[in-house]
Amino acid sequence: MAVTTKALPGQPGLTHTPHVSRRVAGGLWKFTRTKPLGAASALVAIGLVVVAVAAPLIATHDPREMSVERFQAPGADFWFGSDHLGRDIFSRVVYGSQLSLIISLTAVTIGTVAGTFVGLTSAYIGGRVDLVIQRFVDAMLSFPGLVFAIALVGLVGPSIKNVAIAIGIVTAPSMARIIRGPVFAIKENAYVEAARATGGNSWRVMARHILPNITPLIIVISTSRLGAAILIESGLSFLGLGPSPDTPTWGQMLSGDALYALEIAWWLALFPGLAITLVVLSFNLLGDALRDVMDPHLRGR
Amino acid sequence: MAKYIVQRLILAIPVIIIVTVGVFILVRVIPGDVAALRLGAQATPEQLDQFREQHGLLRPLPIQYGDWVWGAIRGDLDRSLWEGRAVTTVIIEKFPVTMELAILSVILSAAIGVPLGVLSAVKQDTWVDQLVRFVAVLFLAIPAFWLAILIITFPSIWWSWTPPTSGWTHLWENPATNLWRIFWPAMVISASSVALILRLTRSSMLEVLRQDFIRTARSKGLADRIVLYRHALKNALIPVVTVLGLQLSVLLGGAVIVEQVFAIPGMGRSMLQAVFQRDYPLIQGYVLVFATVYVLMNLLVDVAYSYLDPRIRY
Repeated sequence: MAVTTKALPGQPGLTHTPHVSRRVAGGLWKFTRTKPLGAASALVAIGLVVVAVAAPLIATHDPREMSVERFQAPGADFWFGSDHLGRDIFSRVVYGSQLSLIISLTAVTIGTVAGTFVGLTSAYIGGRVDLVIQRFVDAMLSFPGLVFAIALVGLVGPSIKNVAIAIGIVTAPSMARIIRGPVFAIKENAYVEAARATGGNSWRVMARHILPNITPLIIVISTSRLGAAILIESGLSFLGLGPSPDTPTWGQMLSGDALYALEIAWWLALFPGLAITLVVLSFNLLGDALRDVMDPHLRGR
Repeated sequence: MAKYIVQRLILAIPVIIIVTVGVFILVRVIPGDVAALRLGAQATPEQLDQFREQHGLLRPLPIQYGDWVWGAIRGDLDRSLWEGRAVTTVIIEKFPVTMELAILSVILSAAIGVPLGVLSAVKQDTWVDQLVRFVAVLFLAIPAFWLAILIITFPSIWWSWTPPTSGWTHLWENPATNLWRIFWPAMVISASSVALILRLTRSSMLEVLRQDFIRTARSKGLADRIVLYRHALKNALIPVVTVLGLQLSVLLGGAVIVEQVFAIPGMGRSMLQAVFQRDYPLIQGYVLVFATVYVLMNLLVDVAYSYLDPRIRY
């Protein structure tokens, strides 16, 4: 929970460092014990970051290098086999993690910031402004996420930046809608009234008194949106709307020419999809675990 | 009730206007000129201008939009800039295919998700519950297009069997052939929604089972089965119905991508092509379809809600 701790006179905050670190460690241990699945998912998520950052060290081949050894079954040289151009699938899966990570993090950040801003201001101001803003949110929600993203990226042209922005735009409206409810409830509290009465301006009240209260909710939702972002990204890549064909992405490895060679080389179909599923699964489970821990009211939603 | 429906329809109008205006501006503002794409690189500037003039693309945007709205009210959505066919003709040809897929997926989601959800709730915390929940979480993480690829690849390697991926027969021509062709894609599309419905049914069922009237029903000696189905399930299904209705437009979107893998002649390929080719009228047509389905399903869900839960009256 976001509790602003102020150092009391005579108690400088710095001397508390060991205590705080012990508390963090204790919290982590408790999380691991009560939510083993969540902790395992967190490990997978950390693993994804490590693989993405250390891709050049982990990959056994250059992911773009073509060779005459086409359609090699998984073995000592090609751990996950080789594709129709003789490229090493293991190395391509390893490098593919970079893109999934960059795009999902950027997209969810964009979606979270935009969605929180819109949801918070819309609910705080309320009345007609809220009514109008919510019709815009309705309009954006009226497309399935993937279709909306296809249209945006298809029109603007595929690139890493555009894909990330498009997924962010797709993520924002549902974020805004979810945040709106709690803000309505919180702004009725006496302390918000008090803050307003003592002359705090709206932005300050929102940032200091309302935002900290919905921060756990925001963290929970944005974690669970990471998985959805990766699913949309892989769908776009699959349809040929990902970054340039030269950049290995998981979705793109399952599309195009590879699609016609699956019956002679099943490993083309298996590994990239497994990677997507594993990562999305762990982000979702992590989101579920965080939700249970941070906000009991949301349980089961 | 009639008054409420009319009210809701009026409230839907601004949403449709925002959607159509938004798309109208978006497709025209974003770089990528349909005239240049359509006529190719060797077209002279005069030819390009002639094309734009001919299709009314040089007029001011508000006039173009007004014209389009006026047409839409009369049931004319303009003509495709590439095929020359009326957009309504293209939509009438493609939409039913995708809609059939989406509806079948909703039916499958309910038919598989609800019983499994009930089972999971009744057997709470046993291995059955754990297994069902694990499968649900897994299905929420599998990309639909990958599932489709797996279904086409592995059975053919193991048993030399593949689901049909070529040809197309309409439902009204030969229902058996059509349903067999559409069954596997529908299964794939519904996978994530089965998981969603399952989880929702489970939690909703658990909540209802804790309530007083269930204890009363049990204590007056009613059979477990009757308490479960007549008392608990009926109440637990209310939120499930809501989500099922809203899933339709999500599944419509899922169909767009899965159609690619199973080579089904629905909206998917046509819409993707329209976006790439900057076929403005066709894009606008499809967007209108999606927005309308969404708005109507929302309304239908609310009406169904008051029917299922007599406490809610509009």
